[in-house]
Amino acid sequence: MRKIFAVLLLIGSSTFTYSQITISGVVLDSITQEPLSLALVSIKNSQILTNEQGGFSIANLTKGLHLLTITHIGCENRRYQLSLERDTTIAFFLPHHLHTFDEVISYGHRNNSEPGTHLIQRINHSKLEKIAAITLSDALQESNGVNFLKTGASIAKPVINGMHSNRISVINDDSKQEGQQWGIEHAPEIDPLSAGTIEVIKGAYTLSFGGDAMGGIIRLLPAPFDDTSYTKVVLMAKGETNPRGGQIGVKLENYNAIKSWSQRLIINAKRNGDAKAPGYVLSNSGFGQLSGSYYSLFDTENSQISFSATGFVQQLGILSTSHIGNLTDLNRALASDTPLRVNPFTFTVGSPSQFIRHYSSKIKWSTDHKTFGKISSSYTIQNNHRQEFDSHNGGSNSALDLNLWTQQLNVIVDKHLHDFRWHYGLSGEYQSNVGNGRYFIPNYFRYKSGAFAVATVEKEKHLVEGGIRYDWQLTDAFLYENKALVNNQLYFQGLSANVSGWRAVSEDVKIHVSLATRYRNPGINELFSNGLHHGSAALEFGDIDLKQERSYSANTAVFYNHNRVRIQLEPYFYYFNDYIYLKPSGETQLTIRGAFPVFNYVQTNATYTGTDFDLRYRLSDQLTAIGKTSLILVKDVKNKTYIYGIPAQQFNARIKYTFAKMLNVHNGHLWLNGRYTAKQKNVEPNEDFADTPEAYFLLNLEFGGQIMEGPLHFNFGVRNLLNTTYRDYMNRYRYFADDIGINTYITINYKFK
Amino acid sequence: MKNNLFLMALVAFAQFTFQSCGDVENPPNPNEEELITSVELNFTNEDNSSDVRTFVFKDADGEGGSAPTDFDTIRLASNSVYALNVRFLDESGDTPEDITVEIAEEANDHLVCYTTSAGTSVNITDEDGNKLALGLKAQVTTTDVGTGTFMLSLKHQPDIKTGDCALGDTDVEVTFEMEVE
Repeated sequence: MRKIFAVLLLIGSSTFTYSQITISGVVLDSITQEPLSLALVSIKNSQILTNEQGGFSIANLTKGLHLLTITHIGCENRRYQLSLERDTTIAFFLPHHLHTFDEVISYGHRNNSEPGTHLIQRINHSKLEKIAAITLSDALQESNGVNFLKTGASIAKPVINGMHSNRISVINDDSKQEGQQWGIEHAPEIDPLSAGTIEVIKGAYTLSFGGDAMGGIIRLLPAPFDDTSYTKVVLMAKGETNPRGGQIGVKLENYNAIKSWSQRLIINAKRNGDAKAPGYVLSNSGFGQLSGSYYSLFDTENSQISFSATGFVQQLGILSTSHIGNLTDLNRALASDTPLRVNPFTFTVGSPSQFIRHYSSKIKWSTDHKTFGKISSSYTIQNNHRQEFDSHNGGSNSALDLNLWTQQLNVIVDKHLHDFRWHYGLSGEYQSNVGNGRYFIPNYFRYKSGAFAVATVEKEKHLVEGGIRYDWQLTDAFLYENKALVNNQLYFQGLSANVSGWRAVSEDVKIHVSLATRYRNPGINELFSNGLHHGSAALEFGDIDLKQERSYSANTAVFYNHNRVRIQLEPYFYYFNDYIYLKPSGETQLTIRGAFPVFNYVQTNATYTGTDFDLRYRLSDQLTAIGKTSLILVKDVKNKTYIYGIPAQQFNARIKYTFAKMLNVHNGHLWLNGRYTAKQKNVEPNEDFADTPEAYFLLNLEFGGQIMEGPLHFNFGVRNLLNTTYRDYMNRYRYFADDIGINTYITINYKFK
Repeated sequence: MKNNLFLMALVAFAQFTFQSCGDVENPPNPNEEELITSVELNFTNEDNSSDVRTFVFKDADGEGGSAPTDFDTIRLASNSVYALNVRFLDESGDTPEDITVEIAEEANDHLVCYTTSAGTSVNITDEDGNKLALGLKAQVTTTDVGTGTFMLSLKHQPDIKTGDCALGDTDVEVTFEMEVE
């Protein structure tokens, strides 16, 4: 847990002295072995910068324990505990190379402590603190291949390889976050400040967490604690102009080395009013959020016990003009360039609105067993309570009320034997859903169990990994059909398998390949929807006879990293058998509210073909150019048509200037980012209510750093700098209003220690 | 359940321990919810009180499910003046329920709007507590013989009612065929 990843190597020792000791050494890049000049080495009250050869020397030290810190631009600060007995020469290897581009994202590096490091992008806690990641989408903005579906200012759903909702899993440590994730406007209920480390995982290792995450997994892990006893208080705050509001978060962290006990408490409050599009207020788009977590860890010689509890409460306004009663309302809204309901700015959330609560608690125990290896087991309980209010009953009684309880049990065994790793486990889950108000999905019990095994062989220049997983699921649903209460029992089972590996072709080139077959059971809404989707003017019908959806996928990744250039090219291909999606039937059905278009959940065969591309070029030591692209094409291969609701092609360019010191700002950055989203042309004619929105270009800017090398970090930025008017294809509000205009924000992060 | 012992054990364990997380097995009956399934239009000729005509739209199982069972064509005499009375009913249950009473109670939040083809005009004759039109009662004037449509919509406009039909949520919207004889 508390291992310092940089390799510390004792090269030699010399002359014995009585009291005055000199420490000298060299700071090297851990990968290129090149010397790192201008690294700041601090020990006691002495500070010195390394010379051209990376060398340094500090004299007049006393015998005994010393804490040595090395700071270098683009690296995390490294701290080493040294016991000095005599004059010492040490070589420090900083993983500088990985950090050349400042984005602390590592791709399955050898030193990762986790097994099966196939395709993992990791964003660590210091990076998250630095960008003051106030939302999950902020945190993942640097990662390759993760995009977001945004609905208003507060709802952001991750998209990997064009997939979202039920085809992506959000994993808290070892268990899946369970909410009503089937809705496109339902974002994962996560306190972003509590996520210490965020990983984006593809490949065989994902089988540890379930077989149905076809696109990939976003895994949130608690941040590691420091090595020596300490108490730390971090204050994080954000203020912004659009939507006007702010956020304040406090993190309390304590490690007691004697008791081997670490604790962390995070509380985070957020309040934003209505957002503004260029030209008008997006009425009733404000929201309030209170979230937090407590994490406690006992870390003894060979076992660890941790306890965590999280809470998330959110009240969310739904853009009032987007809530429509019938097609006449919709057509009237579509015909109007500006929303039909625009009120003056307010912080108040009226109706329609959503009120969402998510609580979870986890106990995890792991131990190192001589024969079996590391055994971890955990029990998690989660409650997700979603209430949706329409303007209809004045917001007093919820129109939709879904209360979901989930309990999960995981046992994972992890055995390392030289180059071989053996990773296997069992999981069980029990879920119950109780609905009130209008019908949308039925009440149900769901029982799941699964078993998996992943074997990994890791050599210096390659890694091969194979995994299988088998899952069973029983859903016991209760609903009214033709005025009679009926009970439907649905049983699903299936095998997922994944073979993946990488090979370092040369010093600079690494190639990953992953071949997989996975399946996904039809979701509860896909099976049982039956009637009007209120607010969206559509009649949606599920199908109880839906079969499992199965994917066959090939993901590859080519990494090239040489001097000033880093390239990540990640093409992928998925073939889906019995792909489930909501298809417009082209027919309307007459109701007392007028005629509504009918949508059916249907199955077909589909392909996803696409690539994510990330190119970084260091123009100079301080200037980096970054280009990113996500391209995707999705086809219904059975009917030879396009599939509705796939993100458009995206192009991103960023120029970034980093500096060690400018005026009083240290370790600073300044970037300008342009994002071009193309028009989604891969749609069937006349399928949608309105034409797909035009392409748009947004410009964002940020400046940030540390004040006087002190405890205060700040970021100041502007989103949508040109106040561009645009609508995004994946935003459900696009039929009714423009997207959010210019937003200026400032974040600060202050560490008391 | 095939022979998956682990899953069976889990089911047994879960049922034994956690039966208390809410009443899963007794979901609310959607048929007991308030629902407007039917619209009844009652026309009385102001010059001839024995000329009473009633037209109905009825979709007893609500939105989705089967198609409406009654969807009358409105037939009125030419060059006449009718007093119109509108009723909204919930006929999903065993005994029909008159929702009009509730609408009248919440008159300040509701508005019934009419759109008719040329030739026929509708004048709302009742008011809510704020002296704004309500629309449960109206005077309908026909002219020459012809065919057209008669659209009625019920708008829910809590705190936003101004008399404008474009506001609020649509609870009912029925477009009847109309023949003036």
